[in-house]
Amino acid sequence: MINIKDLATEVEPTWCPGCGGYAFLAAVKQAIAKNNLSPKDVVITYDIGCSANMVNFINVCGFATLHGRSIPVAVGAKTANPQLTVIAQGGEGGIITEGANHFIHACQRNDDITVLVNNNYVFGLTTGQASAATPKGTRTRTTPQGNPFEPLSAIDLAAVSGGSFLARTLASDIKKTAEAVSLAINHKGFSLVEIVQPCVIWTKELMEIHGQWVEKPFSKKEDFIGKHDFFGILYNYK
Amino acid sequence: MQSKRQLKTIKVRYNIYKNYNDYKIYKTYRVNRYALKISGPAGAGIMQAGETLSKALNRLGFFTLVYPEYPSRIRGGDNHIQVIFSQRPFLTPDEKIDLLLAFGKKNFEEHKKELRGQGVGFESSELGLEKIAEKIGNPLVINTAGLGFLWSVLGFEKEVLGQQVKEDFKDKPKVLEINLKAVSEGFSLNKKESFKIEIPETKKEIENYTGNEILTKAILKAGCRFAAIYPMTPINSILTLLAEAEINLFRPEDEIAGIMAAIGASYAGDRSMVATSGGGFSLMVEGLGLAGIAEIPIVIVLGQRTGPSTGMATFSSQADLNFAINAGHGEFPRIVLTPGDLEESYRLGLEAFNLAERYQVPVILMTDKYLAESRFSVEKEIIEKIRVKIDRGKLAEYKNYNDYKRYEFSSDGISKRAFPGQTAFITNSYEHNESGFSDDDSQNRIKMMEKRAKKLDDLKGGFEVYGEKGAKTFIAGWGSTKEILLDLLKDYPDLGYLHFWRPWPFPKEAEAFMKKAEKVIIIEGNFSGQLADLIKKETGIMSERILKDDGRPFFKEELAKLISKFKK
Repeated sequence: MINIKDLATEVEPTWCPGCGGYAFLAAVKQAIAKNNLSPKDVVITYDIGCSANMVNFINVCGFATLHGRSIPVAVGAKTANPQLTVIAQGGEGGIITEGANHFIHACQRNDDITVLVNNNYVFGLTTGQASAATPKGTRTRTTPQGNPFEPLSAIDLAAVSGGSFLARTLASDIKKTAEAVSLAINHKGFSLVEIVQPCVIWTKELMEIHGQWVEKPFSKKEDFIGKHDFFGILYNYK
Repeated sequence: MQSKRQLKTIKVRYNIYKNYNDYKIYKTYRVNRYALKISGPAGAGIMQAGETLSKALNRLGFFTLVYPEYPSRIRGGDNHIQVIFSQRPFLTPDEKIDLLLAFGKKNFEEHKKELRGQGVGFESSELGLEKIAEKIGNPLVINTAGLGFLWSVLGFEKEVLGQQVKEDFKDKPKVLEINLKAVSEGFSLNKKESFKIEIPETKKEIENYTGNEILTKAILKAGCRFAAIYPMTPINSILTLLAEAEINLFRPEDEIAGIMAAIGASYAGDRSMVATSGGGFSLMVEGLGLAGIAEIPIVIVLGQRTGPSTGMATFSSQADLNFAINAGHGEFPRIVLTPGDLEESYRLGLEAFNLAERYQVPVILMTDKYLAESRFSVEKEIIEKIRVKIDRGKLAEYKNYNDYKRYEFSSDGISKRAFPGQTAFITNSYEHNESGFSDDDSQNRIKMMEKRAKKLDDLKGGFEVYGEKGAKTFIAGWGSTKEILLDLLKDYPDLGYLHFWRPWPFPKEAEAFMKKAEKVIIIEGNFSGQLADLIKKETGIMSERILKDDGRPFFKEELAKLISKFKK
């Protein structure tokens, strides 16, 4: 059996105190342990950014790629060795801003990978600029008067592009995030878990996120598209 | 159609040239070498005609070159191919032609001016080729009917062309039947006199490939398991040829995804590659740096075309040498290969994967539209003799991977590679320590840079010397000019010729040959003289430059004129 301890490295996380990253890290470890996956058989391709620094904090086959590019690297690795569990990680900056093209097309092809998006609604590591997912009206260092644009949603993009497993969780809810990640990595085809974790430094004003937990996946995509406060397994097409 | 009188002149002409043997230039290409052109709108089957015709000529023992020019469109316009054939290998496209067949009056008007003084030209409707196709009941056989006619004008046996047509359509019996009919009908259109061309006495087995075709053969032979290719002229045929092969073929959303996926596949254990042209390579550059620092082997086929930007999309160029050598921020080792002919394309296509894995670096294999899409010929034996054993480099294979370090320091800078599934380990685009963890410690950085930089220290070779080794005048080139410059040597046997097939890392041993020469003339297909600049930078040697940057390869007469200026 794989123990949570087997997944630890000696490197101390570099995240800010109170960052959702800690909870996310715990949830991913739980999901891997729950499925009894050996670290050598799990590939996580990382983006660049705060959440992507996790490459140093978890003992699997981690590959720190480039900003926006964790998905195509994952697609290549999975194609070369389908036995591997392949996860592409990224912030909303990497996945639906810089790398949105890859995200849409991986959905369209229903590539057999899991994408984990850590959505903190802002570019964190570069000190707080608005991203494509920053909610309208949010004040950031590049939108001091409030963000004028409607945000992109990873779930919505995936839904219209062909993604077959779609979930949204709060990082702070480790148990539900771990469950969603566990289901996602067992899903055959493209799976997405959007982990909402507002930034404790740059998007503090979004910390109080309220939403509703959806107990059962929807059968029709139009029932959850645009509903950015829905959490849970929103869609699970087998 | 030209008159009977002109056809007679042809016969006389070839008799005349037998008396011109004293003239060096004529000796090699007016008597032993024929240039013909087929022109027609896109979609008329011109390219297929070139393939069939040249392969039939190979059956007779001729070496062939089929050089296509076409605009960027699918139907209409003016596609044309030049077919050169000779008893001797190494051929150059011509500006002038001996024989023209045009499908359509406009195409005829466009090209008739290229006929040599006594050359002959034919237009399809005047010949009645359309009528033949109509009679057979399929407009598509018009090109085969045209070939039948040309074959008869050339004075060859119908049976040989028929054999080639049978080979081309062996899987489609119905199509074969109508094409054979078209050959016969076309052949019997010519009731007049024919060229009297001497057929090679000793029949060598000659094979015929485009650069892309033989490169694809090498890619598959090398055990490449993953290819990510976004369509782009001039590498499209690699994509379509691989689509029929046993390989994971990924048509990505863009070239960035392409190189990233290839890196992912290589990381997970497959030999992998991408193919693109300059525009796509521009997008791939960040992946080049990733492969550099993360030490992921990858082969990048870079088929050059005329830039910058969209440039002349279906024309050739040798203007991306600087780009290939210097692309990417930061400093990291890479290998740039520039094969010049079929033999080298095959050998270096095989070697590229070994080099990438042995040194864990990106390898850029450069071709261009001229090499990639023209059809060349080579003795079968030469290709068969090329044997390159697969060498996957240093691999980690232990019972227990406890002490495994992906980027372990070693005397040659090369660390053992493990793959996911063997052990857990970190691969990193950040500067990292031996275990792969991100690390910006100053001492670690210095050691890691030194480790990566020394990986290529033991590379050997990189160039070939032809002609007179102690020559007063040396010419030099790289990539697709090889056959053209070897052809030039037939007329200038006193020249030395340096062909660079691996301009980067620059082979320092080449310096000695150029130092001894009184004059070095660099011949390349770009505006500024990129190889000449590289040689100057690496050796201090100043050279003369013969440059051409109009999208076309050097032509026979043109190059002879340019070189003769320096020979005075």
